[in-house]
Amino acid sequence: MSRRLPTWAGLAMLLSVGCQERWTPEEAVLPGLMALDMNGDNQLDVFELQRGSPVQLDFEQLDLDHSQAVELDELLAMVRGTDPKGFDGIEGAVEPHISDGAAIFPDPKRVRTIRVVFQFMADQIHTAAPGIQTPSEEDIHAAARTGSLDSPECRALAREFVKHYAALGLQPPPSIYARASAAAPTP
Amino acid sequence: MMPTSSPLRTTGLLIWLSLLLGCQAPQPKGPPSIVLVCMDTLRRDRLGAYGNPDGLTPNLDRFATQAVLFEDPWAVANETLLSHAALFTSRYATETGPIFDDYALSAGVPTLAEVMGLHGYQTGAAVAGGHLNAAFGLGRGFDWFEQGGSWASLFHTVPLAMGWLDERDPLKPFLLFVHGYDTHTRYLKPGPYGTSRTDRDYLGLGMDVTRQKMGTVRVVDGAFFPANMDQIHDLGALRVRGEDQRARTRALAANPSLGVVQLEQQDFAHIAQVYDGAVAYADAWFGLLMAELDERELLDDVVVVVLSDHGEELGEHGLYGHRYSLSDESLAVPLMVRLPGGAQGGRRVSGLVDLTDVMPTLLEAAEATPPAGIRGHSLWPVVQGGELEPREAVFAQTMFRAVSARSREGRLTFSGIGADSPWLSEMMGTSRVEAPAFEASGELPRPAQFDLVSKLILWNRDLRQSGPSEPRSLTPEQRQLMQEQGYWRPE
Repeated sequence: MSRRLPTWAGLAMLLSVGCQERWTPEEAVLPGLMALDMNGDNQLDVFELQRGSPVQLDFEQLDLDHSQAVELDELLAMVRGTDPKGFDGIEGAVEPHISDGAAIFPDPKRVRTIRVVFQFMADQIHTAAPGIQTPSEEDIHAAARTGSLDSPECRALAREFVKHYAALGLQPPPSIYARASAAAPTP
Repeated sequence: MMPTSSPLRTTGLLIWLSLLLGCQAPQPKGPPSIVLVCMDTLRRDRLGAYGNPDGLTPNLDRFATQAVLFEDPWAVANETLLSHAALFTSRYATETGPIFDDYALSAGVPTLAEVMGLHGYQTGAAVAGGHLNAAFGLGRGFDWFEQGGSWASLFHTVPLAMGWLDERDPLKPFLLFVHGYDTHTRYLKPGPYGTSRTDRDYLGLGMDVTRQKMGTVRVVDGAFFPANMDQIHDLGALRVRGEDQRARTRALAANPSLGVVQLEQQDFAHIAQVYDGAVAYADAWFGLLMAELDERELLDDVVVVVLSDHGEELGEHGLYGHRYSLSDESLAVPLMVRLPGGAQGGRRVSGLVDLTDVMPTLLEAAEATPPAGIRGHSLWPVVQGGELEPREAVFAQTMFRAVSARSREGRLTFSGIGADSPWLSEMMGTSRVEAPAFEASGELPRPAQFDLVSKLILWNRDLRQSGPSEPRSLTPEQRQLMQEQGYWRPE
């Protein structure tokens, strides 16, 4: 049985691996020049260059060889030399701080998650029957602050929500149903 | 019958041709070095390689011809901190520790840089600040983690990265992470890119919006709110999506004393065109980064990975930004992997993948053992020519009480309860598969919606069972090494 050898086309493909055209800085910015070069002369006059800039450019300063046009090497110098932060005098956004999280989540997790569950159930009820009166935000916050679904406050809320769910034909979440069904703690 | 040449003669020809053309096919030299580039907030649909017709990304498109392109990659979170936590650990952010409470990556889970460091890699990162500021914990494991300023660009980080490359030990492989916020708010960039894509005859409110600090952030449901700090505080609440918030936005916008202005269609178009200018700017700097690597004669030896951590909404759902929703625009990202010498260049791989797949891919490339408990699947065999076994679904989470699942058919988002809640699964399981809690994309058929609800519940239960991970996922030897190197807090 004869072995099938690579064809010339195959060899050329093999050779093409590792033989890519070079990446150069000029080629990186060439498309930027071409996008603005309206008359196709491979350089940018003051009007063409200004078209791409949100601020008034100092053309004299960018036209390093004083040719009245910005060529590729000058465009490259412009890209490399213009800081995108503050180029137009507008300061950037404030650096975030790790304490920003406290603004998003002011409560401890166990409080937050309970509050969110009751708020979610209230939203479900209001969606199904907009007129129904559910426990107030204050009641929900107060119950959530106990930090436990097994607290008397949370159980009382659970009973109220389960009652509304049942009336509307909604299926209560098992954890809430369990708290609502549990015997009230003896005083 | 044609005479066949001998293998010896063929080899001779190959060498001769290589010399003639002044280049050689790359030779295997052990595990390759890796350059991982994150172009923060870059929408996938802006790349020509992903079908955009506007020629915004000639350098990335050229890169695509030398790389393996994944056609359907997704972020698993919609903001920088959570998405990078997932990228660097191959876990969903809530599995990495109490990230919602600490607002930082905690010390409990091995990172890409840590594991590669254990396998002899030098690890460096040139980051652009923001949530990649070292305070947020994402630098854990890097030998060198340098910030190029606050909300900086590749303009700042590429030179930093090259400085580190020039100082590294040339005999050891390296992992270099380069990051830039070029397409993040504020979109407006300097010439020749900044307004290169805008309508030259346009004069309107969009110019103010794009010029002002945080201007696009103050657009809610088509209304531009003036720069008053109290109102911006209110806007934070308005930006959490929901009918209540939309009603409140409408009420505020209708109050003449607030000076709220409605944007017109041409204003929205202008803002998107300014974003496109930022994309072109980012692309140029990506090209400059590639030129720097080429100048150092690294491209035949390194693996270069390009991705974004999340996308950006450009008003499609009432907002500009990404943190507040799990929409396609917020989560669709590019992912391309260039092998040394551009081998396999131009291949396109269809099927769902997500950013948790990056870490195991790079670890396999580095011949490193992945830690137990990671979520991603290595794409390294695929990059080298193998078939992708696509995921049935990918998932995403946000800090703002929502999770989503996506299959090939579409996306389903559940809003109201966050991924950190112990009751998420049962809330999903007992809610009606309809608005407001559930929102399906496009024309997602009802059976597909139910299927995605099931997948979301199973996914969440799985996350709950594994919980925030502990160092147990490392072998005892790895853990000891980590502790010796000071990566771990003693328990």
